[in-house]
Amino acid sequence: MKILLVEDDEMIGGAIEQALHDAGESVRWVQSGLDASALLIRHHFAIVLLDLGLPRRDGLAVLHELRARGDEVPVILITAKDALEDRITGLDAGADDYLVKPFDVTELMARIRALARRRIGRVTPVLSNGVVTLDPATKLASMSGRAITLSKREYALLRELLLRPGAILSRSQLEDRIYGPGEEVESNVVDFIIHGLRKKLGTTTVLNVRGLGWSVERGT
Amino acid sequence: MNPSIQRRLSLWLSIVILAAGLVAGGLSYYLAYRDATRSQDAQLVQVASALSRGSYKDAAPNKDSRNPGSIDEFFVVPIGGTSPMNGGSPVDVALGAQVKEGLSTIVQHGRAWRVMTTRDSNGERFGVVQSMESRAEDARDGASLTLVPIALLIPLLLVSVHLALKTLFAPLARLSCEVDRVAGASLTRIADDQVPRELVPFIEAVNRLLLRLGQALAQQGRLIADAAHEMRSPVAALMVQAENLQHCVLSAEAEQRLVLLRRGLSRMAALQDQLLSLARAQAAPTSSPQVIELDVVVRHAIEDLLPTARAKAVDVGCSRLEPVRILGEMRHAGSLIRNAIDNAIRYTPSGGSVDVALFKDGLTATFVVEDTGPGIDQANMKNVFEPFVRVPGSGEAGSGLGLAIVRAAAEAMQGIVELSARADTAPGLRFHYRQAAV
Repeated sequence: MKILLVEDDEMIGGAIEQALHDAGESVRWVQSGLDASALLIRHHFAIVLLDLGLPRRDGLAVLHELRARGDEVPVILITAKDALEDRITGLDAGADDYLVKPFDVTELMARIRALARRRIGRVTPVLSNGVVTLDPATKLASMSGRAITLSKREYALLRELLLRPGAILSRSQLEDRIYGPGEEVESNVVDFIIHGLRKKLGTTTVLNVRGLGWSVERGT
Repeated sequence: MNPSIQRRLSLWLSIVILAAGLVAGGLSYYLAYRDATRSQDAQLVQVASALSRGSYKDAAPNKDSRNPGSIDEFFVVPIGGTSPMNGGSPVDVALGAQVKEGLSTIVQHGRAWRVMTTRDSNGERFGVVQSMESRAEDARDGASLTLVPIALLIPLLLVSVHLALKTLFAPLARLSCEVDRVAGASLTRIADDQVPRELVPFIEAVNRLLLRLGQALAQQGRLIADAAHEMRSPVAALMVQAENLQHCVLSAEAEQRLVLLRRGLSRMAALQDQLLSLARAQAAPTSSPQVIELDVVVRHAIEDLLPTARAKAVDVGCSRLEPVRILGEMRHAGSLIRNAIDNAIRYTPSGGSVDVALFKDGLTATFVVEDTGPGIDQANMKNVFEPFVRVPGSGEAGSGLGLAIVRAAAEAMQGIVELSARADTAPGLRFHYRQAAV
């Protein structure tokens, strides 16, 4: 995968280049917005990692130009600007994702992979938090390479929790989502389903947060 | 004690008034006394000249006396004679031939007399005598009266000067209240339209000082923010480099050391993050206050902190979570809630619990976090809000900025933060935040 890294900081640029190298990617690293613009016209890249604060030409200007030309290359913004407005401006300008310094390389790699998958149209609907994986096609859960059959309600509840791993969903939120409109909610049904899930997936898969609800652990 | 201008003015003006009163009183007394003596002499001369037109022996005794029998009268005495004409009187004056013509004062038997001698139509010499004591008494009475207006005027002056000074100095007292208010709040200008003109230059100098102070403080805040900001790139680079190192072939020992290195780097990244948070919390408002659903903020904060708590085996939960809305800036609400819970998790030992509660107490939004940590003794309750102050002996590797951020955010949202012992007297800390709900 050919990746363009646009980062003016020697230290961080060098470190990311090394990390991508280690991961077996081919990297082209430039340090100014002008160089980036010039390269992007002549070459095709699978992904662009773009720093916002660049000398001579701002990262946002590079991005604007790219999108104005109709180039749909996926762009991940890397920025020290942590203000919310900058991220929103960046995403509005056509960035696909952003990372705020400092970040873990594993996280950067995960986002690169996710964007690459989307790029080749293999958008995976499979939900996972790194521990449990749920395939909507087969309605099967899998854990440590073992496939587990779930009941309809167990599947629905686990799916809700895996949509945003780490989010805490309250009893009423879960009830609303696993029951269709007009369906009558049986009492203690959430506890019952969770009990079933824990039996199949182990007690630590679905976590109870006292007074708030349930969540699955965020993927690492 | 500093010298007070008001008191000194008051003292000096009082002294001047008293001194001036004494001099004026003394002078007018003296002049009035002298005048009285002169008119008494004139009277004496007049009596004598009236008698000299006939025979002085015809003169009725005590002719001018208003009060017969007293010494307050004129007596007619023949020259050379030894006894007064008006027998039975207490007067005992003898005028020898050596008494000179005209006005004179003689002393006989220890008493002083004023004498006017002349000749009558028969050519016989006689004297009209008046007691000096009675003359002095009359003169004193007359002169004393001239002291009355001054005696009345002095207390009046003293009181009115005191009152006038008090009124004039009242703006100064108001001014110091105003300076207190300004210094306590956000270093704005001191209003100078209500103060006396003489004080305006002083106030302007103070205002210039306040301006410089405000600029210095803002600069300091910016410096911290900029420093934390500038640190991000190198720290990020170091973290990536340390991670890159992991992909190399390392000895088991090196790998162990790498884990420690990465832990240290994470801590540095966290510290720099907190520094940035603190600088942001202390910075001037960036947007107008908006309605914030605090229960959503609490929920998200717990979601964010759950992995940390679970890694430490600390049970985080809500004992009460009601929909509560406040007015404020999201960055403040977020960092206040997050840091309060984070702090509780940090200081709670493994196996302990952190209880979060959010509810409305009348019109007040109330956010409470109780932990089962060691708590903070009373002496340190106030200090822990200062940056980089940690509870001694807690051994916790925090940034030392959590509560400073909380306080800055609370001040920005005009809420009140309190730390206390747990309500149920179990060991642990109770964090209490209150703010007006909407």
